[in-house]
Amino acid sequence: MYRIYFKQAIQMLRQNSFISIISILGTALAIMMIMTIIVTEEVKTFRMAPEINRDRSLYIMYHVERDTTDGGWFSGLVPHDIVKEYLSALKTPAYTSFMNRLDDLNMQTTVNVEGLSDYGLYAARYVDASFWKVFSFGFIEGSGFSEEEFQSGIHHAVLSESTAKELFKGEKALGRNIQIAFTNYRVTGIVKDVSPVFKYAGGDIWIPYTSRKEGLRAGYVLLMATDKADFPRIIAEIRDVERKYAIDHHPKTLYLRGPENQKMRTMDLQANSEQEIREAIRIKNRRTVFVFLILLIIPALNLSGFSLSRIRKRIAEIGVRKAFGAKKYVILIQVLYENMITSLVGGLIGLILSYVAITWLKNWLLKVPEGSDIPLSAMLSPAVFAAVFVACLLLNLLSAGLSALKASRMTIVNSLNQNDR
Amino acid sequence: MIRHILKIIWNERKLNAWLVMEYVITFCVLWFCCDYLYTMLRSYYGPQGYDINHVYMINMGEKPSEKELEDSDKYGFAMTFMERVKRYPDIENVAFAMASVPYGGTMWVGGFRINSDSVYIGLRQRHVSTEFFDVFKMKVDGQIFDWTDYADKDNVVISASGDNQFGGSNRDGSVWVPVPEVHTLHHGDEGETNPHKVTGRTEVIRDPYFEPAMSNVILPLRREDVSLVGDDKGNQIVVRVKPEADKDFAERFTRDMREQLFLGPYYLSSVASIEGMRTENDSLWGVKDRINSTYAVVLFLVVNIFLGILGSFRFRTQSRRSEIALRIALGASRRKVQAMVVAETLCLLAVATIAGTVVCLHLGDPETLRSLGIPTVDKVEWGIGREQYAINFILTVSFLALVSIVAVWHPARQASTTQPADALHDE
Amino acid sequence: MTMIQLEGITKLYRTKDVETVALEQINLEVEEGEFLSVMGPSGCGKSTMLNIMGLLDLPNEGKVRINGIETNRMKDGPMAEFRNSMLGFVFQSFHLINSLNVQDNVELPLLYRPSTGRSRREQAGEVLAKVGLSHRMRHFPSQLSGGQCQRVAIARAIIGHPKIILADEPTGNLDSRMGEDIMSLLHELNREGTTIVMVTHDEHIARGTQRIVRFFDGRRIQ
Repeated sequence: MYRIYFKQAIQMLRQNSFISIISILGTALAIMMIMTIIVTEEVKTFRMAPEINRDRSLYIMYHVERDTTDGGWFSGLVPHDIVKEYLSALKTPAYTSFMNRLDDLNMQTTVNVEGLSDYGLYAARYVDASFWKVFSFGFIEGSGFSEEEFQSGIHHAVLSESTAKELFKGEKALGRNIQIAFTNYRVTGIVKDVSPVFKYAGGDIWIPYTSRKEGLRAGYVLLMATDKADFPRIIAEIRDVERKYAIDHHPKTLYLRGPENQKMRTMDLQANSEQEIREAIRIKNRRTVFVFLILLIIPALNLSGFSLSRIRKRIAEIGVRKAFGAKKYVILIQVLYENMITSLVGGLIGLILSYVAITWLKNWLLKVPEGSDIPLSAMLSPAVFAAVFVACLLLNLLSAGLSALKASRMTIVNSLNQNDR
Repeated sequence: MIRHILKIIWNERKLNAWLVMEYVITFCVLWFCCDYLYTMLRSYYGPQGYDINHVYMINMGEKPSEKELEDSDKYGFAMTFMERVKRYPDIENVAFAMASVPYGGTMWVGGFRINSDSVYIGLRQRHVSTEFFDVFKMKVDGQIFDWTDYADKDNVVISASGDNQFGGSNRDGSVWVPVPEVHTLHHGDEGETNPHKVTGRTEVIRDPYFEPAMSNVILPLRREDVSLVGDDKGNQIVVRVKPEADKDFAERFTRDMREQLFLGPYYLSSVASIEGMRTENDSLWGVKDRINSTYAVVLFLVVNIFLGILGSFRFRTQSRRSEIALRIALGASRRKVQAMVVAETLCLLAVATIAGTVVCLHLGDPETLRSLGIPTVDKVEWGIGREQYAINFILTVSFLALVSIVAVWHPARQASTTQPADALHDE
Repeated sequence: MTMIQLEGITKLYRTKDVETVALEQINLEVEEGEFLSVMGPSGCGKSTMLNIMGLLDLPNEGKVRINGIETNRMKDGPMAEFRNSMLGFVFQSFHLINSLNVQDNVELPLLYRPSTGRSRREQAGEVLAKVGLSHRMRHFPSQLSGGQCQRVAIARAIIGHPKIILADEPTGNLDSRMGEDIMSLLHELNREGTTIVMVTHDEHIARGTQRIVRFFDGRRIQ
């Protein structure tokens, strides 16, 4: 029976080619938008070297210190003192890493080869020893530094491949001396280039922050769990830290935002307390629902207009079917089934279009570095297909439901006489 | 003729009701898109109270050394710096500042009292050398202080928030005073010393795009605060470049001036255009993403509406082929029939327009949007008034009318140019 | 044996403020194997009666009994099955589905009962052979003449082997030669045992049938 429905649906699509194209196009556009959003979200949390532990990382990017006596407060990156006194003692995380923020033009540092006065500006990442455990760098030569070397404030530097090439004009860089902010360092490692879109790992040069006179006053904290399941315990531990801080520094209180997982990070939430972050998440979710509704309802409105007019043309046919013994639900199913074909064809085209769109827009949309590809598995996952199917189904129900119901309810005589009043 | 058209519309009221509904919804969506885009782009591209074209920020670095510099040494180096940079042929002017440069990344908010008011409120404070006004081409009504003249040390220039009101808020509330009535300001941090005297007023300064502008107090930079590097205090150096010399300025300046600007422990670190800093800042805070996603959603909606209207009306007209043929068979001219079909469509649009306008004027509640996390702009703040409604209305109606006419006219023409007998046979 | 029994059928059409009587207290019995013509001027209610007989419409009053089964209280589901197995329809304007080809149009009634694709194809082949359209199986209705369309419609009506065929002006849209073609088909079906009720206003055609019932203004006059 469905084969015949299929044949008829295809025949009808061909007979009303204009409307068919418009319907399919409308569906395709809607699916494209929805898919682009979903895949974008997927890819943002996808593990990509060097940030390969995104799925088991938590981030603290921001803290608020309040004075409960006069209501004054101070906020910003996480201060070194808090990391040293409290966070480095955390028990649950496998590693706790502390690094500087590096997403600003002004944060570049002078670098020159020792003995040459000609210096260039590079993005320098000040890190600790755990940094090399949390991220996976492609070392071409040499290595990072150990915990002992870090503690001793050793003047060792790791360069990216292109930085090394630029500084030494293609000569061998490993073991050579350079000056970073006019201080001497020795090159002990060369790594493959890391794009600046990696907010925590990216840079041109990596040095132990203990090697700097001023150390690292404030920065990002990354907590890497042994397993994702440890997240609640880590978060509980952070809350304990806040309580402990409040006792130690009475009347001051501390709020460490998050710790946020990769998914929350991509939302760019801004909040100064736990309450605010919950509210911010609620607003984000509300907006997501709102956007999806708009993306579904507007095309559904159009498509239901089309399917209503199409049904009007076919009222007599439905009368005939009923006269020959079709039950109401059979008619209902047939109309939905026919629309489903349009929706699925549109859905498929939309899916393909969304991949085109994502590839095209990957720089501003996904912050995927130039040259590195979006992992195919993120785009072809069963979850994505399930989402397309559900979106098609919803779109179909929204658009054809009304006309299907109307068609199945009409009395046979009225249908045969094409009288839909 | 009109009566005839109205009669046709009335007789087909059930189908037409659906079309009108579709029109009303699309009308509201388009209206909203217009409204949103207009306010957003206006706040993004609108005047900001300063001109950042051809302006560069010069960042100096300091080599590590054992002994701290005296304030007077710092000032001396700064003066030498200014002198040398000013001599560079591409430069129009040089200014020193603290936490003042747009997109500079630092911002100070201090507590001030206005006139004899006893309540402290937060105002954005900028400390600048006199040249700053020139570098950013800020228009000042009144007098600008001379930062090197001790007698001017308490004179300030102010800028209002939107709506020509000056003031701000604290934990307990806010204070607003019309700009012309602001004469003196007391700075909380300085205790009850001499009040600052307002000698000039400049235009509203807008730093964040989508939020209300803050009131500004622009104070003369104090001699002891001058420094070529600014880790803690947010010292900044800006230069205005001659327009014709803007191309490759940063590169050329760095190359030519590097040697000259090794001043004591200081060295030239980087030169960045404010324009570039703005772009950087935008991408850091997701401003561009936000604008781009708004474009994407609006484009999506517009295309969908286009397809929807096109499809519905084309279909409607196509299914009336035999009616059109019949009219021609009964002696109507082709042109008249086409005109009738178009007029009928425009009648429906007119009905929908009235309904849609009523809905839109009552529905555009910014509170709802804010609760959905969609950034909105305070229209009063930006001086966007009733003319906005006119713009929304005209754009929306003309778009819908254009698409509808295209949708209807083509099949109507087709139907009216085929032989009536053929078209009649279709039924 | 009585195949169709109408008992006191009254049908009213109500619009906002006007009430039109389409049928008033109609009693009619059709025997098994009978070929009955219903005649009368336009608007006399003969089509309405046929619709009620075919369970396409409900009367305001009265009972319809088909093959001894009371139909008034039937729900939508059983009613549809009953129509599917007992009744075949032929309409004046054919009512073929334009987006289906001839074969698919004919198979339609079988679609609403348990059947396999192969058996449907076989049966469609048989009935199309019977109406002489085996060579037009893959054509679409728009590619056929009026007479051919009506023969497809008859093939569709008989494919489910209904006991009754209800034909509403089957020759109304056809010229006389084609009309005779259709009539001889119907007569052949009747000879094979199918009960046929046909609405027509063509005196010549009606005279070929076993019995004529005349309607005037919603009443049976003969």
